[in-house]
Amino acid sequence: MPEVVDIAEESRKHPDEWVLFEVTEVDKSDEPVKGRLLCHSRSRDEIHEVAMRHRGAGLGLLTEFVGDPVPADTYVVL
Amino acid sequence: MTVSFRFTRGRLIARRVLLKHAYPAWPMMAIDTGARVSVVTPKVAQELGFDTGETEPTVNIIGATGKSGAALLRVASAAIMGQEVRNLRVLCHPLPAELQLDGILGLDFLRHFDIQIANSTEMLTLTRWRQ
Repeated sequence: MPEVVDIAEESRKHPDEWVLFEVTEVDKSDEPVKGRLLCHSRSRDEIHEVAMRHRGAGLGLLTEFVGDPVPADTYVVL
Repeated sequence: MTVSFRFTRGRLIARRVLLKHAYPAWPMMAIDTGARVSVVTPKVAQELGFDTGETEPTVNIIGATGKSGAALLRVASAAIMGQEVRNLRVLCHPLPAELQLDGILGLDFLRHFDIQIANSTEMLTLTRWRQ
């Protein structure tokens, strides 16, 4: 089982990748603080496969992309 | 009750949002005051515990780039920094992979708050006015 780490610190080690944490600790605002890194990948599909095997683990799963993926010459219209 | 947070991306306002259904999860969602309803991707819906059959399109949606179909789901709650909105409806629809986002937080959630976007400090403040 992966060790519990600081989520912000660990995320910075994986720029331009998706990270998936099992959250083990939140602060008083319910913000994830510590957790176990379950997967890091450039593929959201790979993250999804691992997430589906760990649903319900810990306090929940945190999934996010580290960095800003939108190129400077691309405009997003939601 | 007021909470503030710094924007996490240079070209989009995005934030971790705690969604609770069968399983809790914190996906990264863009905050969009132009979206009437929130959106999660099918992957997130499944990670929250929805069956794949529940994510089949049942309603029509219209966006800036055209029309499409989406499933209409309800999550037990959505929350930013402890500010929770219960029984929130969300659309289930894919987002372009290039966005590297898992959802959009729309007015169904945001209407419960007064919103201040301070571009000078890259801070967004939510002040609850409605339960």
